[in-house]
Amino acid sequence: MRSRMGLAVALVVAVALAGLAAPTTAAPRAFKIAVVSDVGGRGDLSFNDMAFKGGEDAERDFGVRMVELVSKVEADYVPNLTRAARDPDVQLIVGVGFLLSDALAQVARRFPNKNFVGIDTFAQSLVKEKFASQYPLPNLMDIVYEEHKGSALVGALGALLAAHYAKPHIGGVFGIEIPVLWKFEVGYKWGARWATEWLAKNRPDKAFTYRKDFVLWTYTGTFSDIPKGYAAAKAMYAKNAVAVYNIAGPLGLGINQAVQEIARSQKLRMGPPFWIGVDANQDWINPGFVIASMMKRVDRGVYYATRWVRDGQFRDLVRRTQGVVTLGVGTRIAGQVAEGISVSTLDDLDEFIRMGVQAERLTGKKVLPATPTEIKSKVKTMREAQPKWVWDAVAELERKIREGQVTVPLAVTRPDIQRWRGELGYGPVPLPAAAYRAPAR
Amino acid sequence: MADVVDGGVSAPAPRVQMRGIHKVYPDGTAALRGVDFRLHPGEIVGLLGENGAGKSTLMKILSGLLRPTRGEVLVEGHPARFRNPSDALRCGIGMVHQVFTLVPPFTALQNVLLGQEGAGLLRALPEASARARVQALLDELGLDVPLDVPVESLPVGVQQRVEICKTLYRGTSVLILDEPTSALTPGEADELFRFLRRLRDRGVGVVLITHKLREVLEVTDRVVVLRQGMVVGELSTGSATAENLAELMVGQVTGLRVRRTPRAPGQPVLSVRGLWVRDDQGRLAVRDLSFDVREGEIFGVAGVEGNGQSELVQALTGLRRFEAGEVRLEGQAVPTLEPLALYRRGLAHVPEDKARFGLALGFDLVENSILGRQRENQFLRGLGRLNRPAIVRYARELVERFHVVAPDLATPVRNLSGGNQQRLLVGREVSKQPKLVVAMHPTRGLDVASTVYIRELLVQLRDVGKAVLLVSADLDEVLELSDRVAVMYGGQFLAVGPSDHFRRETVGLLMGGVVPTGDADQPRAPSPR
Amino acid sequence: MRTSRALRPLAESLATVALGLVAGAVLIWAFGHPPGAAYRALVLGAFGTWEDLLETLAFATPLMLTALTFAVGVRGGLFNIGAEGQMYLGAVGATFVAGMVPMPAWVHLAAATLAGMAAGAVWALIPAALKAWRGAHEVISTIMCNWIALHLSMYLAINLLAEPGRAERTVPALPTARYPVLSEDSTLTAVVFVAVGFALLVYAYLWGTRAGYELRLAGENPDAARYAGVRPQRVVVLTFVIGGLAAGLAGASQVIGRPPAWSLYATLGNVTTLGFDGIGVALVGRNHPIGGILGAVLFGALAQGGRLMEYEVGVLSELVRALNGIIVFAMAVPELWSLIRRRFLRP
Repeated sequence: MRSRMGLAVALVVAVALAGLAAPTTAAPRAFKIAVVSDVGGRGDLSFNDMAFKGGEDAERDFGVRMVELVSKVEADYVPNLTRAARDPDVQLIVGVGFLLSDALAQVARRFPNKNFVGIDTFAQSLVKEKFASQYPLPNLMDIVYEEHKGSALVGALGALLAAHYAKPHIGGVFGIEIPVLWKFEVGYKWGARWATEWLAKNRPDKAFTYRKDFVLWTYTGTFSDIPKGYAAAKAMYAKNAVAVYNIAGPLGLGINQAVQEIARSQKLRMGPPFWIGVDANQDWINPGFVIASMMKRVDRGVYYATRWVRDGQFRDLVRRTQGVVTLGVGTRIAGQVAEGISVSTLDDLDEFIRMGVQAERLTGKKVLPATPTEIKSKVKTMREAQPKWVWDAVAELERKIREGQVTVPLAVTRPDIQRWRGELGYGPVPLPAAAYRAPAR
Repeated sequence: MADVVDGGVSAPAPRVQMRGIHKVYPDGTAALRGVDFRLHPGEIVGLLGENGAGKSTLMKILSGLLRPTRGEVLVEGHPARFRNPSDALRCGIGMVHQVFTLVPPFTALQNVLLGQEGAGLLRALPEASARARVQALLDELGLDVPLDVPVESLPVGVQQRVEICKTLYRGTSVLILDEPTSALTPGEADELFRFLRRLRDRGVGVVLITHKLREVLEVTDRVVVLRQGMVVGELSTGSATAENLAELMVGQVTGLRVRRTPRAPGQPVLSVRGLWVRDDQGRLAVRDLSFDVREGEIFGVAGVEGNGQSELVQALTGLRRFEAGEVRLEGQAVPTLEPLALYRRGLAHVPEDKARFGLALGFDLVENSILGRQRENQFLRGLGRLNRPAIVRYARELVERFHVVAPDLATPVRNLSGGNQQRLLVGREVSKQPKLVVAMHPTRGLDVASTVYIRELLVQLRDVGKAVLLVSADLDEVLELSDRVAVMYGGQFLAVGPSDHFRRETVGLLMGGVVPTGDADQPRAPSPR
Repeated sequence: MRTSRALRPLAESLATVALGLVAGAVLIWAFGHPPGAAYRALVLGAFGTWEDLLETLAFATPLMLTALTFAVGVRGGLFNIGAEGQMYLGAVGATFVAGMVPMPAWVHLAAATLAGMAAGAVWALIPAALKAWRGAHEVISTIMCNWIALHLSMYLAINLLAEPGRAERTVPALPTARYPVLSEDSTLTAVVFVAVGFALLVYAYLWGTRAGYELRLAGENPDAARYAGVRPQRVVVLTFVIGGLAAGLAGASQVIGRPPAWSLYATLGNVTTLGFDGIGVALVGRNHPIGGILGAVLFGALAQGGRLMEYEVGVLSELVRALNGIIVFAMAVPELWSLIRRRFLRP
């Protein structure tokens, strides 16, 4: 018995020593960037995949090397950021998603010589709250996006489609009611009203007056319970909404399910009804039924940040912006155009289909609903089936926003949202009782 | 008669034949030592023997449940190798076990069809056509079974019919029944026997495993008596009497002599009046028992296992609730029997299965030495902590005093031999300074030295005035150690009396449920004294 | 003789770790990475520096507690896989007291800790009662309770404990209810001492007290326990309560003892699977409280060391997880087998 025990110990020690004795390959010093995902990880087809794509673009254009750190659990955020910061070659560490805000604030303080970027985060405000004397941290940048402007664009698109198809409503399915989502809500409604004004001027034959019940909206109180997205969307389509905007992440799949049901029962190959994607280009999820997506270009954020670090502008930029950089429509940073919000186009689609192909390889699961060519052609057909003036009007709004001719309202406080709701819309559509049944898993 | 007994030549070929069967279990027990057995179509053979004689083992081999270590099985004269019961079933051999294999919430029909071709647990049973066939079989056999009632709501006797029907539905022509009447009322048993005779008349060969002499004499054509894994007698039932069967069954005295000096018993320590106890299946296993165990006497209960001894002992030691009756310890009533309360009042219990009840095999000697005594103050310190030094000291004392052989006190008792386990257990119980010792099968499976040691210990306890209730399936043990003996059969004492009034043969008859007549000095009625 | 017997499980566990590592090396090699370099990174990543060591312990802390839940269950003869749900409730309980009930400094910390433990224990009482008085099998009831706990806890986190404006998580623990961070270089807090202390306390209880003896006796041999006058219901309840306390503490430790969030995520993301992982840890630790501590350190090392392995050698995180699985499997097989033999194949 004793000998068996000795053998066991010897084995363990041997394995451990074998590991320690192996020589390190001395890599040449390089400019590395590290991208730390949130728990969504690789293959989420959204924030994380886009961030990694931004890193790949930076590798291609700036000759940097990207290291990926996928967080498996929330507890990985701090150690992952730390691990990256301890690599002497890494000059920029990107944390993807607002879940990393706390971790970024903590780790950035410990590594003053490294540069940290959070995508969609509010790390600097946490620093201000907790360590006021250090605010703003000179090496930490939150990159945020003008979602209200993008929402205005898809709001206009929805209203224009309603005019074209003579439908009475558009809809929006929201997640938990937090101030961030107010930006989407007000922007969306405002865009819809802008479209009615545009119609009155340019297409009187299609014009209608904006009514306060034109936009149907529901806060589902969840960012994960897909059946609630389904139930909310179903109620909206039942009221003949031409399109429903997904502002609740995965609940888009529920919206898609509601659309799919109508499509199947009426044997439709193309909308209406439509839905509108968010964050990433979601047009490929159900080609022909996703009219467009309000894209938050996370990849651009990573890309720009790398450039700013490479060009030595990063800290200066942090100082001038108090560490919060906003990317949006027509935004310029350090004298250069740096946009991060757009309505999806046919050209964007390729990148995201590629992302889907990659995700399929990575997860071994079927992601794409059809072959890339089929998807592309279906989306193309759908877009071409809409009258040109619809797209022109959206483009016009985008131009006007970019040129500052119109200002999309930004609601961040409770008084803001109350005022805008008074002006643009009635109370929300209650969630149907059926939504409270047990979620299908 | 003789022609039936060795009729190998003139009689038709046996339906099944077993030749030179040996069976040695992995633990080294030789259960069968060269047994020959045969069965013809249309006969009922009784397989008789005490516990452990090898009856069940032999039939489990025939039905494919066990494989013989040596020897061969012939079906219609051809060698057959059964890997499992299905193989045997394909040769028309089926066994009905003591514990039924029915699915309680299923109906009788579903149970009969279960596992049949075309039927699955999840697929719908092809009931319509099958029902007709099952009903036809039942009619043919004259069995009355409600097909659409869940079997759990049927009486045991009817459940048994379902079990038999299930076997016969698979085309069985050799039917083995293991102690089929143990769970039946006398009426149900008679019904069963009538049915078995009908089966015989239809050419089915039946093997009846039993230890009840009356049944053998009543229903069989031929009897095979096993003892210690060997055939000790084979005779046609016509030439058999209860006496000679009993003699064959119990054999000659082989016991190990323990000297016991006469001693006058004192006051009753344990008094039992009108005790009724149910078994796990809810049947009445102990029926209206009354007896006393007095200071300085060993009261021995003999009997074939399964006649209510376990339930009796479990009830008296607080491990099983009793239905009705009164139990007094030293004259004081014990309202609810609970182990700890009983121990406090002077009970020591050597349970029937030491590995199951009396020891925790994964625990070491130290921890086993306080099993059941863990709440005694001498083993505790403040805050409910164990007084480890005191326990170790006590364990060492046990080991030395009772000659337990163990590498050290930290050895799990699993690694001790059965004899040493039992020495530890008995030592622990005896060292409690009990007033009453209840011991069941105290020497079962032990080596000779340990057997003698423990028997002597029991006698010593008696000699210093303890009351000892000894329950054992070993007839010699009971007769030799006890001052008074009771023979238990069907939950009752068929006879109670001083041990020197019993002859082995008489006890053998009583164990088989036969009350001998004409033996004048035999105490007959169960007496409370 | 006695010491070698005590060390035997340790030796067996070490041998299986070695075996698992060898099998993992084959896997790493098969995916085209050098196993030597990979393991070097694994060891250095887990123990190479002071901060790595502390981080390893931070990952180990909740696991030693959920392992304790399962281990105590097995010792008491129960297959308690309800640590997951009990831990959720523990996290909720701790969050409530720590985040919403202001108190003086140290009192608050103690109160939040105890609230978490109590919540876990109360939740454990449900399967305990079902088992003790209705005979419901604990595997079924704990699985069901885990699901109920998941949804209940999410509901409470979102509706009762939510911080306005922060949809993703609950209110954070007030500074008075936070365990001191041991070093700014890691997420380890003083809660690790509480966890280790609790495990040692349970060890002392199981092996040093009469009640612990009876609990283990009931697990080792229920019939012998009845023979010894042990009431099965009492043992069932006791076993579940101790397990629930441990699991509740595990949940609490991730809220009031783990920076930077100091709160419970609305998805329960910072506690999910810790309870199930504890089962593997317990098997590795031979269902012994101290073995569980060692097993948890091993798991913590794999979690923390795997980071560097992935970072430096490029071993995919999925492969890191597979390696975890192989080692657990290799270690669990003997224990699992003896467990099955004891519970289901007993004649």
